Amino acid sequence: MGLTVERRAGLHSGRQVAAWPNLLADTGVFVLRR
Amino acid sequence: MTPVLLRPDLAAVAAAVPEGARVLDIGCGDGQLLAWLRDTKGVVGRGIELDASDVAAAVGRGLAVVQGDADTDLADYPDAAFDVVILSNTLQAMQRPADVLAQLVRIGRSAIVSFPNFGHWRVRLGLALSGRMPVTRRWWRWG
Repeated sequence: MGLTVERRAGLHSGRQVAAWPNLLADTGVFVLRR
Repeated sequence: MTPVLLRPDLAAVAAAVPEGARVLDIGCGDGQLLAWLRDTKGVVGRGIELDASDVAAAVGRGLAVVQGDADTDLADYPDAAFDVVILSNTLQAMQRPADVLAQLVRIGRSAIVSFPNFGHWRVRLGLALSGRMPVTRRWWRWG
């Protein structure tokens, strides 16, 4: 598909999750470019 | 004007949008994020929303929002028509998410995508105990 992930973050109630985002984040936010 | 508080996940998306950008919000709902971006960051915003009542609410905010389906209608937009394309908590409801992601980075110079984390420990626990993926108030579109 040719996507580049420029930034990614795991959030819990809007705050960035530093550790174990796979388990603790309720939302993922990705910034993508071609 | 009284500042409008954004939902926390929308605030995280909004933080990644540059001032004055041309923005397309796909699945924009009632236009809360677009209105905030217009009023706070001076963006020029457009929106696509499937639900007619949400489209009406967004238009009522003075936003340029049309009724459409991201699974089928994005092919009509030209390349690099927007600086930023936003897909906020909508990807999980798409029929063809890979195609939609390819369209996002074609239409926009960048794309901001947010989605609920179905790997969250509560979801994993609920799946283990009930055998069903939980549907919560925030994740209603998935159900």
